[in-house]
Amino acid sequence: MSTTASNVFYNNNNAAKPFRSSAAAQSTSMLPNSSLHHNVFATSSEGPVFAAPSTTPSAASLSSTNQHGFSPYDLNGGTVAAVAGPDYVVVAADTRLSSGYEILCRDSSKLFGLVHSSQCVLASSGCKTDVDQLRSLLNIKMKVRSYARKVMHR
Amino acid sequence: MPSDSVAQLLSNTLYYKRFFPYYAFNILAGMDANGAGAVYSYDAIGSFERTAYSANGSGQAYIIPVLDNVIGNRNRTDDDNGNKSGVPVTLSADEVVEILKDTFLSAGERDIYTGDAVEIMVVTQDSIVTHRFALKAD
Repeated sequence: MSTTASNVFYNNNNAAKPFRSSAAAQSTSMLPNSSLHHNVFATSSEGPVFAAPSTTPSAASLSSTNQHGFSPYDLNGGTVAAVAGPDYVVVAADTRLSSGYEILCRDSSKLFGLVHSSQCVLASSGCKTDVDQLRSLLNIKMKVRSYARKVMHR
Repeated sequence: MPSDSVAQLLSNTLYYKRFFPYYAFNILAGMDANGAGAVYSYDAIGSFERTAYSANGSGQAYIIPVLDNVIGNRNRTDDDNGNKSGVPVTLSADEVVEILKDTFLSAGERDIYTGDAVEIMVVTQDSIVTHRFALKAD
């Protein structure tokens, strides 16, 4: 069976629901949305396979399927700045954490001291979840390297 | 780990997620092997550069022009102020702290995502001193 790109899209969209993968539940009456713009024309071991609709679905018919407007990113705002000098470095960041017009936190630090380095401070703005993950990962990687060298650099 | 190694490690860590990037704009500040201050500026996918000064985030557009003028000695009308244009001036850490307070105060007036407080760390070879300066909470 040849699958087009749009065929794969609709197949995945429906096959993601758990009850769809059981062979006993292969009845079009149990598929309220699919009967609107899909027709079953084959059954594979993984469940029913749908043909792509003959015409491209409009935006309205797409929104009738289970589509959720999830975005993995948020822009939590904030500003960071740093200035290097001959024997010092000054790094600054505001402490506001926002999302849209909401302030989520007034005391959320954007500065992060990297303890396994020689006096390094990481200043990060952007998406707070990604910043947290990046800080954690960087800390772990630096710790592993310091253990590997049998020296704790500070 | 020396700061240049940390800088490269951060770059590689960011680039590893090149096709689903960390939505994070980083500045790494540290001391280099010669005991001088080092600032590394990054984009979200790990491209980085060592610079004399840098700013990132929502208020970047308000901070950078001031730092260009006051620290970077760029775009000035007083050509004969004793410094060559474009060559960063040497200030004391205390002077830089005061300049950064002013720039964050100004950015906080214009950028709704900047405010509440500014945390300023002064890093030297053997100490890190943190200052805190309140900004408007509106």
